[in-house]
Amino acid sequence: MQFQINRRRLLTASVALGGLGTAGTAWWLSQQADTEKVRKARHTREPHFQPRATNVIFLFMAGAPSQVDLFDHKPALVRHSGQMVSLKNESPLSTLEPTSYLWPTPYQFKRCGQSGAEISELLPHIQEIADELCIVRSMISETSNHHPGQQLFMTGVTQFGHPSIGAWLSYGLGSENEDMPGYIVLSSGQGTAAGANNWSSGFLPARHQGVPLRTTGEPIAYIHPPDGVSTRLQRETIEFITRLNSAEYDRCSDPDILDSIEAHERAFKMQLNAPELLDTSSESKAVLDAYGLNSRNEGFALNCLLARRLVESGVRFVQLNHSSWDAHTRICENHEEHCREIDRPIAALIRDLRERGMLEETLVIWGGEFGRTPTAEHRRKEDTRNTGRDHQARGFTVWMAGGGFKPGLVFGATNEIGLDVAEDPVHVHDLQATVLHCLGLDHQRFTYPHLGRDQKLTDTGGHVVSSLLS
Amino acid sequence: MVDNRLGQMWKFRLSPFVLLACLLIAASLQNFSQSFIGLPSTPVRNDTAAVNTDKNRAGTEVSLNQGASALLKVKCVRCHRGKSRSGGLALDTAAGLISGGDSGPAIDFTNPAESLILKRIADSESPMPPEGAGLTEYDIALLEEWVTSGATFPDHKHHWALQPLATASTEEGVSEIDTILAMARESRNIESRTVTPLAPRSRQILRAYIDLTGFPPTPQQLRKHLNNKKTEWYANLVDSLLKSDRFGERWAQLWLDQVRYADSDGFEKDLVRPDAWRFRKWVIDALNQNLPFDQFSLWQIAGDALPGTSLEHQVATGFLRCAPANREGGTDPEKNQFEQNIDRLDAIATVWLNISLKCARCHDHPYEPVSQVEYYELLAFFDNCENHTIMAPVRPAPDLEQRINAYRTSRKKLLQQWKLDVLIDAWESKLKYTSNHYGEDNGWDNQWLRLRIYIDNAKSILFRTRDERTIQEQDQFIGFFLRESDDVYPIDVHSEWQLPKALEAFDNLRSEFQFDQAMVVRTSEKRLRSRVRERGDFYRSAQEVAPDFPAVLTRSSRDTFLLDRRDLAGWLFEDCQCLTARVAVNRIWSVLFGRGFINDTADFGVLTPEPEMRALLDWCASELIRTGWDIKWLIRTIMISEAYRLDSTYDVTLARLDPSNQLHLRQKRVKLSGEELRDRILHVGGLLNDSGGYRSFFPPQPFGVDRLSINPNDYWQTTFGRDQWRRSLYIHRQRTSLFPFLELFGSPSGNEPCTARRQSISPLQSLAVLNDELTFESARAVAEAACSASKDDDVRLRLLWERLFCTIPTEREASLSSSFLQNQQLLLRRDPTAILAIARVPGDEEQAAWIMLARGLMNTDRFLRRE
Repeated sequence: MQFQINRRRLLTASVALGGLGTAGTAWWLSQQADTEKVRKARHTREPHFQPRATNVIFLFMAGAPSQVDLFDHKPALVRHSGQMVSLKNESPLSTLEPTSYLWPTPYQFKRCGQSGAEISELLPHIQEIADELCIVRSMISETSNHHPGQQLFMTGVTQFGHPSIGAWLSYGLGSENEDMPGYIVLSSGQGTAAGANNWSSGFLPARHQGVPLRTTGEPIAYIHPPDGVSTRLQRETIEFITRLNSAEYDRCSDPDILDSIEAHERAFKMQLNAPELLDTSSESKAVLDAYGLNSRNEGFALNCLLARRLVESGVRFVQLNHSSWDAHTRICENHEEHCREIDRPIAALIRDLRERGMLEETLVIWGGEFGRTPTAEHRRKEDTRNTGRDHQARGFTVWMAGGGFKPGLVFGATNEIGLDVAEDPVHVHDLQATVLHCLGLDHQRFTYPHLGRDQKLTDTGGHVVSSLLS
Repeated sequence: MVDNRLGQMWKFRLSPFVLLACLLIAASLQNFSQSFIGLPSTPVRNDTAAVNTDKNRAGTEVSLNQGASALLKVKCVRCHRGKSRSGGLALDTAAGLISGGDSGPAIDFTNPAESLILKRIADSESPMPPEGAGLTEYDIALLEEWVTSGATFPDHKHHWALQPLATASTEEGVSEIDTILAMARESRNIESRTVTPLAPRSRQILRAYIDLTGFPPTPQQLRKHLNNKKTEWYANLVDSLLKSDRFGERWAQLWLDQVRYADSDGFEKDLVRPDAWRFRKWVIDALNQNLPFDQFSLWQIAGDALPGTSLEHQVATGFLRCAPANREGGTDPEKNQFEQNIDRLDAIATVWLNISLKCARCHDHPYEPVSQVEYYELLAFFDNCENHTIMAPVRPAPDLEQRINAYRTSRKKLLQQWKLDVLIDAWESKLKYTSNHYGEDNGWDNQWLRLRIYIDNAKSILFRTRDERTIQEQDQFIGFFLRESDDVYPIDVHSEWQLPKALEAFDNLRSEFQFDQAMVVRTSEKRLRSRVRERGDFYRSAQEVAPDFPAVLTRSSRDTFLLDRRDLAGWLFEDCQCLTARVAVNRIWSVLFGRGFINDTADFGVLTPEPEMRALLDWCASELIRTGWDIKWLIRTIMISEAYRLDSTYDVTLARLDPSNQLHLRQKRVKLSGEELRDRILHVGGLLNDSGGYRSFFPPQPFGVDRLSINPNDYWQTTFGRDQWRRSLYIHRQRTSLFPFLELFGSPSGNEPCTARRQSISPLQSLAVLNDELTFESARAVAEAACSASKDDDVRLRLLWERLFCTIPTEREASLSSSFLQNQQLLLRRDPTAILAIARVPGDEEQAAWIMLARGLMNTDRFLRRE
């Protein structure tokens, strides 16, 4: 509050005194001893208690990856292979076919690292970093339709209109880098079912909306000036706008004008900084190799490297959407391809964060909105080569790394055939409560008033699963 | 006002009252940890908290009450409720708390700190609750505060918003707005001379134009009103603008936000709704014709059920069709219908009553005025809703019959030409078989299920002959066969039959005729059985219910068996009259003053305290009813008040006296929505295209936006030429990926009712206005006009200011502009390609500099606001 006023006085004083303009003001401000504090007070906020993690990288595997083929080894399926089971017992019912036969995974699993976590051969690089992972195999969602499922996973409710977890954190903790948005979204693959609802600011102010960052063309929408407008012309224009805004402020003293002035300052810096953050040419060959980026510089692998760079620069929450894992048919083809895309870069990202000493404070989350059935699905009866798996809301896998989660832990279990949760169920709300906890926020107290209620990310549920925390 | 909400969030920890309470609690609790005292601190920006503590206290109690009761619900009520209440204690009602259980009253009102409930939760040996997660120190402190501050439960019967309108009898036709405000100021010892004076005339004109039409005046219009020497010039101005057709467009935006209008389904594939626009057109017309608000509402909720229902009555039911629809594979069509009805009910509660009923879907809830059973009784009003698409020409079309016949003939020819008639016949007979033999063949089961998910009433259509089907029904079937039959006829068969080519021909034929169609609701003959659903789950049906109204919100009893949607609409304007009127007034007030009588984030439920200016709200509401729900009358009355016409300069002293400006000591500089801003940019450059029709359009948008969702079609068919410069109201609203310019400014997705736009400022907004090609295009036009009008820089500046701000530049603004122009010219002189790109003529650095100037001006705070 105090800082605020000081800053305002400084701004108006500086402009009034000699029209120093943006650059001048910034320079003058930078000479002030408490500038850093001013900035911090404005753009970051205190959490409820000492946080474990300060940043999040959310690897969102949209479309629902099959835990049966990746992280949840069910050898008993071999014994029961071909046995018909009713899927109607599964609640909520999601599937098109009321009954189907059990179908063991065609892939080999390996016990990895000290923890002995079982991971599929589809993810050979992730097998190597098993000891960094905290794997939860007993996840529960409330729905098995993609759109509401994704909304539950990202926003805490199956209905529309709520902010995603990234927006909540941008709102609750602010941004460490005032010159970049606090919440950035990178996408690869074919788009997600819930689309922009997956990074929506819901009822929170629009500036907490996730900002899509593109790796081809203009990185952020509207960040390139029109043709002919050089950086110099742009800077002078913004200074001119600021001077006029200051004059307007002198006329009508509306404090909202100061927010406009600052927005322009930050806009210009964002225009300068964004391309630099996207430019990976300064990365060593070793790093690029590790991410698998030397042959082709695009897609999920590039997004993983950018995620690290963005977090390094202070972006609070980076969301990587990769889709679609929704393999109702030809699941082998689908999952082999997607695993090839994600395996190496994810392992590289975790190692990279570890080596730079960032993993302690960066929470990496991997998972999709729900899982897939241990049974086979055939959309066309005659076509048995096209086997897929259907949606499963009870009993799917997510994992976390860093950020205060216990490394090398395998938590919870599905039943013998993997058709439901058997031990230590973890509801999506529990996961969200635990993630907030790691960021120093009590999910019960972290609220925002909307339509007469104090809304929460975890809606009316959620418990912090302390066994998952180190 | 960026961080006001955050301010509220922390507010209750900051008020001296709470701090005092904390200390008291701290003293009484042994295990009080540091964590509570060291809670989230410094509000980043909280002007209100600093200046007025009395108000904070009111807010605090509400917040506490809510938190404490919710806590009881989550942690205690599982055992302490109903007949089987543990220890005889019921904690789900106020009565239960007062009467207590076997061990006596839970709360001691004479000595609250000694209350049994507090002793039990703090008991060191066997604290309540005995199992589960238990209470945190924070929970305990919250309950302590609630008990010591009176332990009140929400009381719906006596809630202010449901009470009769408290108004003194006033002389008919005389506005009391300024009188009521003057009295309120007087009672707060605020002298009338402290009130901000009226805004300069030009600002009043600009404000009225923006609020009534969404556009600034042209220089000619401005001069006309400036030169009007009559004393009633201002009332004349307002009256003339209320007659403008742009009035309907500008205010339609507000209504469409609320009724969650969008051009797509919402869920997953988010299919485009090519006919949604017809309802938007209806709203515009209804507002322009000033259809009384009760009729306006009745048509939308029950237009299909009115005696002698007209086409426009039916089109109005498009409101009910704004519900999102889920067409994901595996969706149960009946459940989808159920969810749409839920959405309709929730929307009506939010839009007309501004209360939320959502909790009652799953359980009884102390803050909601309806019980779970009552919720399903309300839901039962929608159980005979049947979705249809009908022919709905915008203008009377005498040749319609002829065109329909021509279309039928062409379509028939097309089907024969591609041999589709035979194929579709075979496909349909197989589907008919499947509908009776479900479970025999997976492929056909899927196909049948998907048909029912994609096409409303698919079964009844399937069993009618082609001639018995409407054009739209038959089109839907053909379209589905061509696009979606790959479950049963694999892709290679599709190409063998040349289906993709046939689809193209079919789509071409349809767009050649392009009928005006509307999505409507009709009353179906068979009524579904309405049942309570346990925990809101469609699959857990319980007791049967019939349409009825909740007790708290009902004045008189009715014959239950005869109620239909007309009664539902009637109920809003009879039983709920006071609430409905208050809600309507509050929304309009909020548009015209930048803030309503209650906070934007609040609703009219029991948790919201009585507004400070309830007398004013009630006067407007009762006059709205008295005038027969005349919306234009209400807007006019507010706009000709002195309160509305005040200048919007901010003054620290006034802000201290009245932080939320409830006494209207000044007007507010209101941030324009993304739509209003884009429209203003279009208008000042003279680019606006008013003759582009009523359908939605697709302005150019940044690359890749439409690929972030999974809509399978290339729905964003960018509009080029002058049609891209149509009013923003007509921009296609795709629920899973919004037009980015509007999204950045908080434009709603249409997924749920938006009762107030979220105001915020961000650098990305600045970048959008600065760098969007549209701003540049408009700047070119404005600058060129100024440059060609005069060679004199002062004249040019005056022209620019007049066009953009309806005023003349101050000396300081003029000198800042001159030096900017000089500077830009110097820089540009060295860069001929830049000049060419900016001015589109080689070598004219002067013109280019003026364009840069105009572009700069369109980015000033002033341009982004209604002053």
